[in-house]
Amino acid sequence: MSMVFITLFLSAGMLSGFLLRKREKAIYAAEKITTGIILILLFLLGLSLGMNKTVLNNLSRVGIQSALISAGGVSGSVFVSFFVYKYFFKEKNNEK
Amino acid sequence: MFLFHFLFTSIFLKKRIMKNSLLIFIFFILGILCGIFTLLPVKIIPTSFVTYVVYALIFFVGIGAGANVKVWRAVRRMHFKIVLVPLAVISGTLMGVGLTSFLLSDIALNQALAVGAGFGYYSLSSVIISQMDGDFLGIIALISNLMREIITILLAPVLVRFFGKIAPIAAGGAASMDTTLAVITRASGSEYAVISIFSGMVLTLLVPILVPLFLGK
Repeated sequence: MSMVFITLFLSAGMLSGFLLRKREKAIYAAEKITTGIILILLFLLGLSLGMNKTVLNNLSRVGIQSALISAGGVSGSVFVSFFVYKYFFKEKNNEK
Repeated sequence: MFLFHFLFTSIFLKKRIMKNSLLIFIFFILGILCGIFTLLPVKIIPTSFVTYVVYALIFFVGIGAGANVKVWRAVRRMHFKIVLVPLAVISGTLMGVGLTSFLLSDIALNQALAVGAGFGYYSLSSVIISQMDGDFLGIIALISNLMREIITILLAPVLVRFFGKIAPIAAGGAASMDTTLAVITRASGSEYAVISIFSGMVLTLLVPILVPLFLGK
């Protein structure tokens, strides 16, 4: 995978989405296709995981480290959002 | 009226997406079972094939974002301060995950940052990461980003109570535009729905860009 292609496909998608924005059927179809591709890819991820005995035998380690990462991510983002809320959003609401 | 329309579509979206999450898991578990019991005649899935499918996925994610003009208009209406919300999520997540990575024995700083840059979008981030780094980090990305979504759904009211109305939007990350939107609007109020969708949209678009950046390829 390369950054160049990822950026290219993402911008091409956004441009097409913007051009197709009024054609609801096309956008709906695109959503369906997105779901379909995700299903295929997650199936394939499961498949290679099922064949990978090293990961399967270490599921508890995987679970603990995953939990720590999500705890870190959630607390960090909530912490910063507290200040954004306090200094940029809260006052305006009180005026209402 | 706009608000009503908004709530209606968000409830409709939520139902459909919940069904999708379930489907995703059924497919994932099916894949694992096929792998364990070698039900498929293939030994190794050609990496190049998966790469092209991921590119296609990124293209279609872009279509969804580009078509959603309503959200991009919200930036003008709310002035630029709405941009601070996804910025807070990005900086906070990466800081938190970066600090956590020092506690982890099997994961380097840049790997942890890549997982964190999934921002709760577990399907896309796990697929890209397993492509670029391997199954081990891929499954970590899947589980930890899924947990992020579950934490948000369970704790949204508590987060609002202690950290303000943007907190559940921050916790939800990229999922704040769909799967966690209903919980967020219930906890923070409907005036935060647009902010939530906007933040989720920006983060969704950044997942395919930031994740590979941290994996350095």
